[in-house]
Amino acid sequence: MVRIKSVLDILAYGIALLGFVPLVAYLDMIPRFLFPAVFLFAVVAERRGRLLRGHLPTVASILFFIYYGIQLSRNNLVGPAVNFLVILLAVRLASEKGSRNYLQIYALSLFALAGSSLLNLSAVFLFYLLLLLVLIAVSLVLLTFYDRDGDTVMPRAGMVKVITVAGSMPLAALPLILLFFVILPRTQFPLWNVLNVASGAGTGLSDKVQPGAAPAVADVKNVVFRAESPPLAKNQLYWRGVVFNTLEGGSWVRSPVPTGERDFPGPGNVVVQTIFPEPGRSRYLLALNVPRQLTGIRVATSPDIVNAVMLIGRRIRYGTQSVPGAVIRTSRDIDRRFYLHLSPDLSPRLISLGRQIARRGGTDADRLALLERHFLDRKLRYSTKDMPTGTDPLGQFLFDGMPGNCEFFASTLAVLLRAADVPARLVGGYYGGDYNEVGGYYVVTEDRAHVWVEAYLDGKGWVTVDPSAWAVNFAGVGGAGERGIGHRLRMYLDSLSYFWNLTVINYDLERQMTLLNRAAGLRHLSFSGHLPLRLALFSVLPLLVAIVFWRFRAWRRVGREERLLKALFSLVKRRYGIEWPPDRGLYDLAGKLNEPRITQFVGIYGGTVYRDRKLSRDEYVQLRSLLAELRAAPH
Amino acid sequence: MSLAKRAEILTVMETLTGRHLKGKDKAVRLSLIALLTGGHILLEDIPGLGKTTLALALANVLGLSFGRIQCTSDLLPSDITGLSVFSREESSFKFIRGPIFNSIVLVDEVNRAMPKTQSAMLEAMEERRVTVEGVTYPLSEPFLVIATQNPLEQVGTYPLPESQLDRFTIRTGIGYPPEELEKSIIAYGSIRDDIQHIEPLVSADDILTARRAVKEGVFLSDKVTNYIFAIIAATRNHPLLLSGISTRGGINMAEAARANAYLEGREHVVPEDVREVAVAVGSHRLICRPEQESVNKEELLSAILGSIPVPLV
Repeated sequence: MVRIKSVLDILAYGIALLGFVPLVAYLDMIPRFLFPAVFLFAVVAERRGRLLRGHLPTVASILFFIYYGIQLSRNNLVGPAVNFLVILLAVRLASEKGSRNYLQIYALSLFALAGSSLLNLSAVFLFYLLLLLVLIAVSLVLLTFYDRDGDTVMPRAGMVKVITVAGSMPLAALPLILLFFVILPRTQFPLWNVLNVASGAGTGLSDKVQPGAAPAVADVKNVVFRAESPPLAKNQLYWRGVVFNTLEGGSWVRSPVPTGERDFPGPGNVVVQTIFPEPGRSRYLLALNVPRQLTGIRVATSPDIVNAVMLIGRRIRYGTQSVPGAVIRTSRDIDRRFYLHLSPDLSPRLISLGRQIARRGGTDADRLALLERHFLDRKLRYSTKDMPTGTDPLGQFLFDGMPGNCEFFASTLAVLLRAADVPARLVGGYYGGDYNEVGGYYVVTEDRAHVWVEAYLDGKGWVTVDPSAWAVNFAGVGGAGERGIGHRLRMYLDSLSYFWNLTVINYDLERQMTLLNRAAGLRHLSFSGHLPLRLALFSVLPLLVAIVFWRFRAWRRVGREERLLKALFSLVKRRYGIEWPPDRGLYDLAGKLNEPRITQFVGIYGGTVYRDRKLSRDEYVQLRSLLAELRAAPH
Repeated sequence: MSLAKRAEILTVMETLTGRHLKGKDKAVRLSLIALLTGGHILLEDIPGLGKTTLALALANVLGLSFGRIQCTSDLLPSDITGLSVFSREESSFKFIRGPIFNSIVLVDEVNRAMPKTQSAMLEAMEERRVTVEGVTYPLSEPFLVIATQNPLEQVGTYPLPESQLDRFTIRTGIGYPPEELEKSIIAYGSIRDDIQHIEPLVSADDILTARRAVKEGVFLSDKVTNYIFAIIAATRNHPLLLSGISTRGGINMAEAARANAYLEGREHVVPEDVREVAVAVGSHRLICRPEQESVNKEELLSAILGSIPVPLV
């Protein structure tokens, strides 16, 4: 027959040794010799039943805490911590152990082992860790027996069986542990999203712009990307994705850019951003219009400043340098014929309007201004619902007063510009974004997808024109930012997800080290040098914690009834200047003050207290609100 | 149901204090409390302040039978309980019931009766039955004795011993009416005739129902029980007192407090109820040390109440 407790003790000694041995070389003199001595004492004392009890172990722990707490400094974090851990482990071994204390020994050993990994990067760590896990697993199984009945005895064969089964559990779990903790967090592919890519659909950035394809577009609130950025003006928040340069039938598509053209942003203020796109289908990299340069990623840039990657689905990040609001210069004249091409099946009324503009305006800039005038006069409405469809959607939109979304505005303007002999193209991307002040970044969602126009004005270059801004109701569209608690909460949640991606998914050792250094560099946290100060801090701190804890306990012990009464009496004293004597009751008080709220309070309160029952939640709330009313009521 | 017949009892109280017994609110209230607890009341005051008027008015308004015993030193027990008289027609002894067989019995100047008579009467009060010549007769229900005594007279009196006083649930004075009221009473004369014409407002059954409601419908919490115990314990340990309030005194105090809560329309007793009745219920049960005989027991009990904190939580 075997006693459970003796097996548990042996296991606990083994576990404690596994915590101590890897650290031995790095410990101070005190723990290095104290631990083996205490260990031997514990083994002997355990047999004779003479383990330490009472407050001695606690006092010793506190003294050592102060001793090592004083040594703690920015440059010396790990040392005192592991020394203290080993001391605590020794104290635990030498004192009497209940099931809670066994658990403490396991936890301390794990911490000590973890501490050793900070001091030493040896592969033996893995061996220690696995051994420790197996021992702890077995101990935990035995501990459940011990917890039921401390004097359990078991036949030897049964004990062997329990230990074998308990030991096989962590071994069986090993492959899963490896999968979950070693492989999964290191993948940069979101496994689930990769499998589900086909189902992603919505407004978003598409391969062509086809106004009139559907009467309404659904808004999808999925995040497209986040951009770490300083806050910018709203009219600068055009995120350039793709350029549609060819009109084919009723839709705009992307054709290869005519050779020889080479676009680049003109002068202006440079904004540097870091973009974190959510893994998705689009292979175009978004950047604040007009992007000058993308860094940190291998990217294919077209001559008309469209950036694309080959690898999709992977979680990536890249830096951008942009010149918001800049005119796009070209290295030499563009292929005007290419950018003036119109498809033959366009509405004649559009073409004739374009020709009319061409006759009235002398220069490209004049013609653009005339078109803007025309759009404004038409008082067009922006909407993503009830949009025209059919054979002549653009005509219906411009002439028949039907509302349209950005695709209608941009397509119509581009067609008119081309008809008026001004080269034009469509740019697809996103407009606007919610600035997250917590994380300092913009969140851009699918429903912010946008299309605008670039018109080539002779002598200037490609000028960005957003005809949607000429809609009569444009102010209320696309980010009439929401406010309120829900928004703030979402922002906080989103920043959590952002930092998670930043530090865990996009695991980057270098970045983590800088984070650590920054944290260590916080001036007010370091207190090197002032020994008396630290001494004071580390002796006062436990005291303060104890006082706070004690006060809290006292507060908890005081019932709700007492708290209510205290509030009532202080209120009465403040309002009526009456110090109510302890030998007079509440009903007397109510009768004397003749204040209906106090009478009601006393009625409810007395109805429970003098009926030997506790206040219900509702009654408590009611009494509180009565007190609050009394406080607020004019005297 | 729990506070049955409260409205009727309140009407009685208002009718009495508002029309017939002006300025005797406290005595009327305490009399009703005594009635509701099934106890008896001792009115201790000088003659001519309306003790008899009070008892008469109460009997009439409650619709109960009324008997009166004027105590003298030669009053015999049989004058109270009744006695057997030989009936010539029937050739047998016939029991003639004494005044104690009424529902409301006014025992005037109870301290003038001989101890023997006193104890016979007090025994009847407690037992609620009378045994005469081997036959036991139950007394009527409800049964309320209103005894009066003049505390100032010394000659020819047999003061009730404390053990007898303990039988009264309540002892109180009536006191002089307020000045204006007394002037109007003087001006308009006695109202004894009016009282004869008071219509009964409740029946004996109503009173018994109300009594049951007081006993069963009013909750006495542990806290208030503890408070009552604290009061009687304090009287027992008081340096000026030889002996304090008995357990019966505690029971009566709790009953009276219940009745007070009933009159207030509450289904539970609060410490204020106890405080309100404590002096009337407790003071006459205190026995002072011989050297402290002159201490006013009511004031003493008030002082003791002031030293005991009210249970609030």
